[in-house]
Amino acid sequence: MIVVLLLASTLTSSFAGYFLKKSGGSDRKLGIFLSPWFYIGGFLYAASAMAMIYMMKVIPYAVILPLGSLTYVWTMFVSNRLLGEKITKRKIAGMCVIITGVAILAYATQIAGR
Amino acid sequence: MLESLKRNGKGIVFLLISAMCLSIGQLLWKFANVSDFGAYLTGISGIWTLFVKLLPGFIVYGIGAVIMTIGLGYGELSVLQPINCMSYVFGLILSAVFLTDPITPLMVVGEVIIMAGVVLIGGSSGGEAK
Repeated sequence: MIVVLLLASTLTSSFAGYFLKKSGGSDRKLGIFLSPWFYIGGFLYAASAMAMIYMMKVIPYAVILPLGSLTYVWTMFVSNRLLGEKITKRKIAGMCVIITGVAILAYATQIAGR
Repeated sequence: MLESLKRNGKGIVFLLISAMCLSIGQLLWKFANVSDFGAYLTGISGIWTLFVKLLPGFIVYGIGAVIMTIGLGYGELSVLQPINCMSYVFGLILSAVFLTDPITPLMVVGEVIIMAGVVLIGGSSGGEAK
């Protein structure tokens, strides 16, 4: 059950990024408030954040934080499929490094008793 | 790498500011000190108190989300979104400064590795197809 929630919330979070990007960004500046995509993205973003907060209560911090980085893995596929961004070796390497760092940081935070 | 910084540079700056906002928002929530969440959900006035306590964090979080959205327009999603994880690094530094939570050597190791990953991704760009 928690695995499904984890997959769903990380996937939701990367789609949130996609919709937020779709809302215009640099071309529209604060005009993003007029874009429905901004609200869809914002809603998905908030929903996935709430799911993460819930999971942090039931799963150790040291486990949930690195797993949350799955978001960036989905984002790589989503932006490849929907935005035509290339998946490069360097991006994959950077992602692995980030996930390793988050895992160490989360573990260190956990054993520090926070 | 320079090519990528030219293409994504502005976005990277926006995303770093947004990550900073996320960690400031979290710090404000820690200051609000509402760990016994359920105790507030007993009546309208309790919910209102909870709302008022959490509001500063929400405002900063919201500003961060807007900055992130603008920033995502300045480059590739797959390069810019992972920069969000810098909020963990900023968060630890902020709680060391304002909450005097000590930073252990292992935390520093994790932070340095995260930053290395962000630099690796930030410097990569396969060219953006719109």
